Amino acid sequence: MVLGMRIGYSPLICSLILFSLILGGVMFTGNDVSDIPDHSEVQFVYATSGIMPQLLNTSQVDAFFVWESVVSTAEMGGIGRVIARDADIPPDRKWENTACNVLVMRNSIITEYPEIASLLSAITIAGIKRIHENPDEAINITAGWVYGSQPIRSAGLLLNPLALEKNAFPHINFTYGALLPDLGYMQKALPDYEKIPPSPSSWENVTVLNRALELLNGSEPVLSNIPLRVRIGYLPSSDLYAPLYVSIMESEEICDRYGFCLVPVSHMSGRPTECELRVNNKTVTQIQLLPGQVGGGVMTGLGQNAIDVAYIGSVPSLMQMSMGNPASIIHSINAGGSGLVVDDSAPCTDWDSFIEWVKIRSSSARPLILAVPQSSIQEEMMREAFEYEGIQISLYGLPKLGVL
Amino acid sequence: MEVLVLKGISKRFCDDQAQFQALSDISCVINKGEIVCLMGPSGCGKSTVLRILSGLESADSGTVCGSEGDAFHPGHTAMVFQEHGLFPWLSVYDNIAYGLRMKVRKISKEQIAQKVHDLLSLVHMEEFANVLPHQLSGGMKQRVAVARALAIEPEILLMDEPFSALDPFSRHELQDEVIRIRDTLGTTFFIVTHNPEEAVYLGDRIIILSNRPSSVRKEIQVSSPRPRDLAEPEMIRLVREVTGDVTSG
Amino acid sequence: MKRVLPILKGLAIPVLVIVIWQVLSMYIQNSFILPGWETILPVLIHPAEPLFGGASLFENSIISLQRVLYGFLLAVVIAVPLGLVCGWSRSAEDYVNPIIQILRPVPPIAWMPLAIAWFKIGFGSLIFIIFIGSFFPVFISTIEGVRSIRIRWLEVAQTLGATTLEKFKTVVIPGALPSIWTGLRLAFGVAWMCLVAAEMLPGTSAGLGYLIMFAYNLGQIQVIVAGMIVIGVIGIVSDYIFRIGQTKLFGWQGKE
Repeated sequence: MVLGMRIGYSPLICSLILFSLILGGVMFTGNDVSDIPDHSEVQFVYATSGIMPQLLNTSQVDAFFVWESVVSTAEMGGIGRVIARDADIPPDRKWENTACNVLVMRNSIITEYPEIASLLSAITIAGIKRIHENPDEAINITAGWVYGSQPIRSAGLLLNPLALEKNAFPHINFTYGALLPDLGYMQKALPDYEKIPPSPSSWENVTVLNRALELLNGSEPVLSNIPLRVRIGYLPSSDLYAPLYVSIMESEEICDRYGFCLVPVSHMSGRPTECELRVNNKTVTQIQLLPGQVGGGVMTGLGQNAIDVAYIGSVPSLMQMSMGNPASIIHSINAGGSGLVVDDSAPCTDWDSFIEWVKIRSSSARPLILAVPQSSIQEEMMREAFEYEGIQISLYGLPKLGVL
Repeated sequence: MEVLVLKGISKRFCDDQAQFQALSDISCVINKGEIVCLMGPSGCGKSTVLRILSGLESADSGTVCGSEGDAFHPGHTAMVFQEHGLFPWLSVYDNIAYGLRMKVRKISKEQIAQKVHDLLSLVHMEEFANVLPHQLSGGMKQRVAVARALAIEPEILLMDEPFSALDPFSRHELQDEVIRIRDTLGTTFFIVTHNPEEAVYLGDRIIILSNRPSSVRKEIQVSSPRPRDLAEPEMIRLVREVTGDVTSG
Repeated sequence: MKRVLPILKGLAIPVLVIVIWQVLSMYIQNSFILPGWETILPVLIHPAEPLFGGASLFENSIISLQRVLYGFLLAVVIAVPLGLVCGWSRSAEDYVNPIIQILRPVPPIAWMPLAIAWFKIGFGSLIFIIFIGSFFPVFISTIEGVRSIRIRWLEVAQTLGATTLEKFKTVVIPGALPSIWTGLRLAFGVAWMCLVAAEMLPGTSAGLGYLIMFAYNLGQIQVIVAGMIVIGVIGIVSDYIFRIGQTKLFGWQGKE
């Protein structure tokens, strides 16, 4: 052939072989006939929270496990049902009181500006208290912060954000006393696994929390070292940071009661981006609120000195800290607030019947597909629960790589 | 023996800018084995005549008949252009074989190989069979173009200023080639040229067109024996006559 | 010596970058901002080692290559014939051109939400994004290739007895091929770039883009840099292959 004559036959044949290896080789090393699973199997899909209702609605996944108020969006939008919450996830109601989101600060901030750190922690705790005192106002504020004023669309239905939040809030436990999760399964994925100290409390800093409680009790703030500004990162798509939202929008009440607060300065689309930390009616420092997309990304920003303080998931923060991110956890923000959602037609009503369904699907070689946010506490919860139930986890869409 | 009879060929061109009558009444006869040169002032439509004969254009009126009054078909002709027009992605061999591989001809592979081989010898390009055109000189490319045209055994080989892009040495070489091919194969040549010396050297007959809208102004018979020497007085006189006729339009 | 000199010149700047990088990283001492080469090189040197409990660097690269090839080939198979037809027939082009011109400026990433909805998470939506990225360069360069064909060639073919179909097969396609090849080379580069964006779609669990996203979420910037280097190397090698093809197959171009 002319082509062969021009290039030379050997390079042509070599590249054709290489070509077909790449195209075909990896695919064919997939499911061997001899590989009859003796364990049941479930498949994980990593997805962002916002897209999970759509994935369930279009039957691309069979279930998803994520935080409020995405769960309520699916429920009230008629996309699915909630069949299990944190307390229902095995083993032994472990997750009922485990910290889902935490307040994290970079170590350098804590050492250089300890009083500022404590003030921010105190304000967060004040926000938590306000939520318990006046839940309706908290719901109002959160609906406005996360969703704005317009109703939102969910699978063709228009949902009122207020109704959404009313549905979601009762399932979230806002507390600063929740215990940190120990990472177990996630940690196995990390390099230098054996070197990691087992206890998550190694990354907890109680000094700041103690000082915050003193400040809340009336102790006078001692401002020696003051930074020019503090940058706070968080995920604006999540209800679970309501203490932050409430403390800012109710700054007047908090200043009246404690003498310090975060006062919003500028608004962009209904959501403050700049605040001032005020102590005894004097502005102490500027605060920037920086929205992020994923927990891990915000933690990376913390490590890069792009952010000083973060409201973030417990699992992404612990994972990065155990790999050397120089930050510490001050205290929890909330526990609970996750839900397992399945399609209305799914043959299960609770966790146990869900596991039965998983096993049936697996034995008919159609493993159930579950969407979770990557590197989140939700993923950790699911991994531990499935191991407890003796079910293997594989990743959807990952070709089983053979000898290659 | 007549191989081509043109009667009253006319052609008008229309485009967005202008409309003009290129040919008004072209009538002439070409005999078998003749080398006929077509000349005329610039823009008079010499190329158009060839293009009509080769089928690339169509005449508005007039007739073209083949030998013995038979119908004429552009497939009886082949054309060599001023730019060689060789397919740059094909070797010399494949270029020459191109026409032979067309479905209409139904020629077997062995026959093609034989024909191409013969043609390569004819134009003295045997060693270059597998070479790509861009590696050849201008003169060699035109040889291949001639061989390619001859491959389909046309009754008449049309050439549109085939050597004007070449250097004088190659030009003279190829002019001698034309004469040699006519002597060997008996091919009929109809050559458009704007070079009076070339016309006098090559042509058995020279047809001169008038200005646009053109018709045949004059036919000059050149009966000098070959090989011709342009330094001879008769040649010089003919060159002057032709030049004068062309320029006076 | 003469053949080595251009290679040495080409290496000069990368080496300089590496040295400056290392000096800066030792000065800044923050692996989140600028990881040192002592952390990046081990990742590159052990490409078969599983990363983050999943696939290795090598396996991720193969998976990515496989996806790019599928999407790219799909685009070629559709764009080349369509381009040949549109280049040849003015009428066909009048039909097709407006929609092409509207879709072309849309970055492939913008198609992501629709891709997930139409083609299912995982393989389908990934291939679609890569397809969209590769399609337009190939299509446009095919049309250009047809346009660049010398009329003289077509006239020669006609005078030698070629039918329209034969003209298409023996003149149009070979004549357009150099331009098509250039389009393929460009499109492959674009496809390889679309890959990283595409692998951030939900449903991917492997591939270089996925690896980079995962590493970012874990704050392992050295893996990100290693991944970027692999992406760059594969890009250079594939471009080189296309250019070799260009000289060997189309050495005649521009010289006739």
